[in-house]
Amino acid sequence: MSFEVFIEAVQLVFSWPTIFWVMAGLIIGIVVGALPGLGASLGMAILLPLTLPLGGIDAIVLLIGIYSGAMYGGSIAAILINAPGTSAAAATTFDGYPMSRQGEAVTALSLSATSSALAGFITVTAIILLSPILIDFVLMFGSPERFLIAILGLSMITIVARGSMVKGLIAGFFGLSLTAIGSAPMTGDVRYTFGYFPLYEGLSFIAALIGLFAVAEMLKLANETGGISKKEFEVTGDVFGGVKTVLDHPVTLVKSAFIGTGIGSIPGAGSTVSNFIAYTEAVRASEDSESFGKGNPIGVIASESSNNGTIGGSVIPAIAFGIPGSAATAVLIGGLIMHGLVPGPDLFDPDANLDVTYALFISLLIGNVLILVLGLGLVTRAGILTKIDTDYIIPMIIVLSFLGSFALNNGRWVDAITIVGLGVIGYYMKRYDYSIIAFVLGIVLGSIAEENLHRSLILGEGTVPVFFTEPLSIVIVVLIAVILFAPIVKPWLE
Amino acid sequence: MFVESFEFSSAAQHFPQFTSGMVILFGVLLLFRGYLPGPLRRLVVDEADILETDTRDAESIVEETDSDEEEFAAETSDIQEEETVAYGAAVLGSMCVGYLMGSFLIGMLWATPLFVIAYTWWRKQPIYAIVGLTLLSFGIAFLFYDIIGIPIEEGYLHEVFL
Repeated sequence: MSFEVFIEAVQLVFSWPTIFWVMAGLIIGIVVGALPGLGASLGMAILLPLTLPLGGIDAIVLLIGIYSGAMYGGSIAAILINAPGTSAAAATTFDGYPMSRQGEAVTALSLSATSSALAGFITVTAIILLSPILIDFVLMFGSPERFLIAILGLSMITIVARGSMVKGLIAGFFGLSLTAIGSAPMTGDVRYTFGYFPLYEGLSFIAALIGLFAVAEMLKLANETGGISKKEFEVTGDVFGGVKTVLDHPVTLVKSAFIGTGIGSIPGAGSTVSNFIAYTEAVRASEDSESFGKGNPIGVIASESSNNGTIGGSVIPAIAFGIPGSAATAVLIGGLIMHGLVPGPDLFDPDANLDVTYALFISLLIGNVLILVLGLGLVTRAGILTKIDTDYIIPMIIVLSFLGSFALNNGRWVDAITIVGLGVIGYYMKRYDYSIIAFVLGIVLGSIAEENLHRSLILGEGTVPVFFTEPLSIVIVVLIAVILFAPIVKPWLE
Repeated sequence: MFVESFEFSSAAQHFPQFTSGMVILFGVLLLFRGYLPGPLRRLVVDEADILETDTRDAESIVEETDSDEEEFAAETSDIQEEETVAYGAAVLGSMCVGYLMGSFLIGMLWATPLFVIAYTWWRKQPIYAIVGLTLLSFGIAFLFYDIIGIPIEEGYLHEVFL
């Protein structure tokens, strides 16, 4: 780490108007993140052309501010209306929304702001210190390891599926089946499109998430009267109680944050995967695992720590190799290139553009402080929204879901049909106790798993041992085996 | 999906075959859960279901001692509650389908306020709420059209008649 360049970058970020763009990006990010269907990548993509008149660093801090703000903002809608603003906040709904239903919306929002800010701060600081080592670690992940990471995520179904294991597996495999729609990775075969061209790209998993979470929940709420918060509960909660709860669980916070950073640094995995893995790890490690999904604050801490922890991790492959770890970092790479900053070794060279890299990380640190201030000071007031009559909320959420899904691919009808179809399916799945989480895991990880399986088999000339040749892949295989067989072996051991 | 997968090239058919095959296999297990041996049945049947069955058995013994009149009243109440629960979702689900079709025919920009009017009208909201929410929804739709630039101002009917 070059200290002189670091100091130079600090001065740069705190100069005017750069600091303004950091704040503006963060606030825009929180807003777009909180709106279901928009999210970081769409917000960044919309603003990308508008950054042309700005200087390179101003543009990059604006974009990274949106990314960071959206990652936190996604939790607001997840907690208040059970509609994750971004897919990275999907696991936040599992406990955040039940807390809202129990009148603990303010506490949940406080948990979210504190864990997001602290996790972001800790991981970015660590990355600044460890960035040279992390680059070597990222290079160790080839296709076999990426495939195994996807399988690791899928094996989590055995942990997250409650009640009937078979129902959870049906939900998970049904989610996986839906990812087969569209062009097959590597071979290009067109599958299950009925000759309809817009389906060639497959179903958008963000549209699927909007349908499963937002529309399905609105269908459920349509049977009730009053606010989202149940009548018998007051919209209460304690801002500082939320902060204290986070500080009382430092292990969950730090572990989830670094799960996020580790998985975020693997290209193609991203915050959605890390979000579920951190959540299920929190469930596994807890002595009171049955309380998860019913408003356990640790679930919110795990989910929110991991998704903000992902940001720093996903930025590393983006700026080091130009490999996007997520859709948002793909837009970030676009922003870098648009402003003449080519991702690669130059961005880590003290004599070239290392100041840009440090400026990017410092703006993330500032962003996390702002998340804490805005989150605790203003956003926790949004808890009162849960007392608004559902008759007012339902049409607005449905409208936002339709418009948001339609905006995903600039007016693709398949996305609007997806939210309605999966909204109805999600409603019945909830009603008949099929695991929505398992279904979502299938949808998110299906294409990653299939694509990297093909690549691995080509690399290994069609043989399975390709998955057991590297120490890293063996470690992941062992982890998968532990997760799959632990529930069966555990009763025997006891 | 399973049958159709055989139409694809060898490399492209494995994944859908495997996933849809597993859905079929587990679906069959679930369907015939009543005939499965004990340990396998535990994996298939929800633990809560097993407890519920036990509870139901216990309840049925108690119910036998109750009067027929009470039993009839409780059953009627349950059925009515179930119907009410499904009714709201069914109406909103139908309205969503209508909103989708309306958006296709006249454009989402114009279908949005119509959906909001229909829903709030059905929920018997006061006129000021209907007007306020309709204007708000149109404002949101207009922002999507104007700022993001998604093509929601025209539908199929515009193409046919204009």
